[in-house]
Amino acid sequence: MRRIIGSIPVLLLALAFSPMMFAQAARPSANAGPTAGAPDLSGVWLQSGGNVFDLPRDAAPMQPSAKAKFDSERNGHGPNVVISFADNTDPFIKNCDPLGVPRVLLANHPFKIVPAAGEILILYERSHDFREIYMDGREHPKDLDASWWGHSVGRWDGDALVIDTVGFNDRTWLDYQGLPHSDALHVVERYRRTDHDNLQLELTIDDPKAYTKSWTVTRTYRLKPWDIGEDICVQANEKNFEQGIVKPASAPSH
Amino acid sequence: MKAKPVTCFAALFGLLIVAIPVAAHHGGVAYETGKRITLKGIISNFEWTNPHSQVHLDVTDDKGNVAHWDFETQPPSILVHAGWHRDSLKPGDKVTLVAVPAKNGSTIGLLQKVTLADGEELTPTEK
Repeated sequence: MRRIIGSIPVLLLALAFSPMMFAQAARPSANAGPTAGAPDLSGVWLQSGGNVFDLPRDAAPMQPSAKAKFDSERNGHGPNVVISFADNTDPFIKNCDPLGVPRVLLANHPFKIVPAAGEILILYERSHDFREIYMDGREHPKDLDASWWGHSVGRWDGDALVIDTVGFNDRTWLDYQGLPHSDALHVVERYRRTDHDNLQLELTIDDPKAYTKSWTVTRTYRLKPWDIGEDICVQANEKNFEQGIVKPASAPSH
Repeated sequence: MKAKPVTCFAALFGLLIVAIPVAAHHGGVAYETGKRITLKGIISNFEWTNPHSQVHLDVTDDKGNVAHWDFETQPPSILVHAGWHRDSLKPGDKVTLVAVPAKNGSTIGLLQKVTLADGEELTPTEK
């Protein structure tokens, strides 16, 4: 009996330093569910209004360097349209580069909002990519590595989910026509369910290196009873499409 | 061998001013917006794939010349919501197909509608 009693402090000590205890101490919300009482934005959402691929071209004047970059781009949607892949400068078309934010929010593929413990996950059909939106009150790290998707923290403002994202690299486009951005890009997404079936996004682009002022656009999304499909950009598939359709369609007129 | 599909088995109707209901993320600049062609032919292959599914159609004129046409449409993740399936089109199927033609006159098009022999209509638009 004395041996058992004597071992209790050892057991308590072992528990105190166990990985589980450490994890719980570091992330108080790690084992909690989605924020209690928070608005429910879960579900699969598809952009309304057909295939909207682009943001307004003249929402805010571009800085000279950004304007020069935009004017140099060649693609299927922008001011300098080309058909052939060889002439196309779109990083998504040429290299299957990640779309990043906000480009992934455009076009005709849905995304799925998944409330989770201490965060919200957003799963994107296009590119089959995802984002983690940290909802546990943390701030952006002071020394972020530049990344394709940036670092996102979220909070509730009444019935709106406000996502703040920074830490991007400058290798993505804002949309399909090629609106540029820099590594100073700061994106704020404000999502609000206007009714059961509709989600409104107020998107603010703040990038003083690329634009002379911040600008805001609104997009709407409709709830769909769907699963997320697999729409992955694969170089072999792009090559097949280029050979079968793009090259003959871009050849000199018959 | 190339043939212009304008005869009894391959009817061509164009110059209808219509919007293209399906724009590709690669852009629709290769196509003659506002025109549509209607072709009757035999499916030679159906590629159910990213970034765009492809429908391949053999069109024979009244002299027996066969023109091979290639059409792009939406990827599987979108077509499933329009009622398509990977076996919706099979080699040998006799169909009538409506498309927006390429500007350069090649046998390439942006698919708008396929009507199967039993009258079933497939479009790339969500149902």
